[in-house]
Amino acid sequence: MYYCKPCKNKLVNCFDISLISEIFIYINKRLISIGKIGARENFFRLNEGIPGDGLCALYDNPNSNLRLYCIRYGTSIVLLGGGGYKPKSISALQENEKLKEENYFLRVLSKEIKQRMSDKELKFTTDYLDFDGDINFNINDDE
Amino acid sequence: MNNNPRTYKSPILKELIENISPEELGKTESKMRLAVKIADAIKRKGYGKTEFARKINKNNSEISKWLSGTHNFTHDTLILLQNELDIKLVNSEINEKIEIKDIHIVAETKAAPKNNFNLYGFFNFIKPDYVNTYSLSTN
Repeated sequence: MYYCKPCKNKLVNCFDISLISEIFIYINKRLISIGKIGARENFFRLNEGIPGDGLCALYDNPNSNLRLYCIRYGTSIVLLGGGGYKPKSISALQENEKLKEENYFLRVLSKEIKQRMSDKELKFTTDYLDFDGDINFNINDDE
Repeated sequence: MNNNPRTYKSPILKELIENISPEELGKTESKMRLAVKIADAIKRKGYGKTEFARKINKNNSEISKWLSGTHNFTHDTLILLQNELDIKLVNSEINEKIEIKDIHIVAETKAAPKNNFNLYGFFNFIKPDYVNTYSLSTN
């Protein structure tokens, strides 16, 4: 969900649907193009998580200050997470609850994926275009 | 355990995607391809992002923006990059030759013989300047 700059409320409460559509369309155009060109490193703002977890954010419209968090595995696989509006007034994502929630969820997911790969429960397909194995996660479980 | 991911297709998202015109999509894709071309050229030249930024007197963040595939480049910037990276980004050739390899004209007439008639006279056919070679065939 995106947030309104001035009042920091959910965007859907502040603006009409056409603005939200515009944002989604922009992001979708980028994602469709990535599907053709590949998830090149420079299309993403890197190092949005901890070292080695692959967490990044998709660059979108330069003036929008939106963060759409993803986990990138090479140029072939991108796991899209959530995100939100990052106000200019904050420097760290942790200062915004919504961004923190979305970002930390992906940090945990990335760690889980790494663990499952290490346990041989999950692997890349031979063409590296997908995952093969158990991809059901329940992050709130103690498993 | 079922290992397959659940597939959910949002009707709203589907509608939004369907409403993206090929032209709009083409613009986005072109920007991203241009960014890839520039990123590859920087790498080929052996520069790091910071090093390249310093070389052309720009901020590191500006280079990141260029390479993000979201930037709408000005002509001046493209020329700058073209010269620095030895790549072709702008095609400003005026007298570009268009090669048309094959032109087929099918003429149906009862008055003229099927073969060996003067097509120029018959149709007042003028060869356009940009056509180098052509062939005419009658069926």
